[in-house]
Amino acid sequence: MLKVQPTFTYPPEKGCYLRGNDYSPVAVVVLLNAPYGAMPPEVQTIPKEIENLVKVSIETGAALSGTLQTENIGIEKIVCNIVANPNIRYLIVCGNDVEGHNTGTAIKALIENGIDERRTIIGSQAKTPYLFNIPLEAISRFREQLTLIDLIGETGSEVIMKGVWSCYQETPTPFREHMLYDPGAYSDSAISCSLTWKVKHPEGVEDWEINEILKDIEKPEEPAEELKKRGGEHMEEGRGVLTITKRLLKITEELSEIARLCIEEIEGLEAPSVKKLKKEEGVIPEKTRPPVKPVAVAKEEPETEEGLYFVNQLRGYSGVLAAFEALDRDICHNGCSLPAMVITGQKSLKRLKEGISNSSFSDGKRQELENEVNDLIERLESLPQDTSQPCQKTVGTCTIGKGCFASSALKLLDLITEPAPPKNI
Amino acid sequence: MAAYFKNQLRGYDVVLATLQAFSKDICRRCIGLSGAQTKVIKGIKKLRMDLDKSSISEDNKNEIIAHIESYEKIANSIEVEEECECQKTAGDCKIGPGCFALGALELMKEITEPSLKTEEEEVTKVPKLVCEKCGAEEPVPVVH
Repeated sequence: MLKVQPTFTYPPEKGCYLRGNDYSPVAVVVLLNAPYGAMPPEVQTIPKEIENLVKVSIETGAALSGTLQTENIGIEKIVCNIVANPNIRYLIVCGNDVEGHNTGTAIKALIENGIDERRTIIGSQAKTPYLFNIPLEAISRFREQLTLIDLIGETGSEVIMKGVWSCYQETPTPFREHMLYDPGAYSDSAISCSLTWKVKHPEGVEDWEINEILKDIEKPEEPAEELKKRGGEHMEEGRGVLTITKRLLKITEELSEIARLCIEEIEGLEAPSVKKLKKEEGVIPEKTRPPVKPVAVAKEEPETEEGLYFVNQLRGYSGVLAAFEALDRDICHNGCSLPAMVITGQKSLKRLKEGISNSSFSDGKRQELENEVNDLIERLESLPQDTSQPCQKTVGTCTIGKGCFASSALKLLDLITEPAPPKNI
Repeated sequence: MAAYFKNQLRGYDVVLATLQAFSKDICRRCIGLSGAQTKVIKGIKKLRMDLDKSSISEDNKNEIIAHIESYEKIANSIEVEEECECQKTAGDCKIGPGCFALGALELMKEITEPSLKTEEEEVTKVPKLVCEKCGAEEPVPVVH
């Protein structure tokens, strides 16, 4: 029986899996039907029963065994890892299908039907079964190399162990509707590939965008001009350099931290509390506050709830004011709603100003907040306040429907629900 | 037909101004603003695609395209830091469960009329008589 060595980089993609015997003909995918990844880190754990299935599969002799959650990036990683090892000839998919993703049906459909010209898995019930980041060659190899053992819905470890065991028998062994045995490595050489990450968030891709994305994927190299146009990719002049510099700085920080720990260990010193404090001062603030920082962001965080209340309100008003100013450039300038909202805003800001004056802040802090409120009031005063103007819907110039931009802009302030207003407001 | 596009542009004008204002604050390093920016960019792109397919006059189209292009520039210029995280998780945003950036994006929901489909249907459903000789079109006369 022919067995071959996997690629040098095998398995090329990182993920939530264990690596077993590289010469085993079977890989196991346990569907992860749990809110992993969407939860805060402190509760982010894989359920024990799923973890157990992953472990027993490896212990029984699988080449790779891991969890799968997403119907796009997750499947792409599996494809890359499997085509890098021609010895893998079976894929056992087990566990309960992932709610919302339908990943189990997606991987099954991929093996059975492949993908269409829009790189969408044919016949998948998943919402975004797009494979944009891997070569077509890898997908077709994946389908040719593998036989699917469909155990979707099966969570019993004994069944899965029996399935894994059957795959590496030398003589055909019955397992459910299959006759399983190890056929040896796939006849062609391994494919070494990894995700291109040209589409980082396939879950956000909408149907109308696919053709555009496909054009981008087909391009051998994306010109800088194209990248500039993209929202997520800031490749403006100097911005790319800034990004690299930031990353280098982060690496330097981490290396210096490792070096510090090594020195401490070699010297056999127990880190005293003073050292810990120094470490916190030296490392953590630099991480949260990058060296190149816009001036406007650098805001002193209020210590008290009272201070927080005023700061939050002022944050909200800065957005509301910007919206009002934009509306003032449009038909709302001649309407009655914008002036009405401006007047409401003025009243509310005046009350806020009184609250700041009566607060227990230090003189400096009070002055700072008062300046901000005065600036906002001044901006409001430059906006129209004549409520006798006709409603632009009545006049027929506003045709957006029942909604009103001006009143809903003011409602942005309703998003602030914490902390409760101080007693003097 | 142009009313749909003009209303959408009105909405984006307000949303972009609001997002720009929030980008001067802690939202600059927030995934919420980054997501809102991406959605606006996508929305404007979709608007352009719909415009290309629409049957409105070239003059109107050119005017709307000029607006779309300027909004695209503004949307791309909203300053968001390269590595963002939710500022609530980071402990800097303490306004409660709400999110200013996503709230600003919600302003687009104020536009409920006219729908693009309705207008398209209106255009395609108008019955017309076509002259067999010259191809000239005229509306079907209403019989009372």
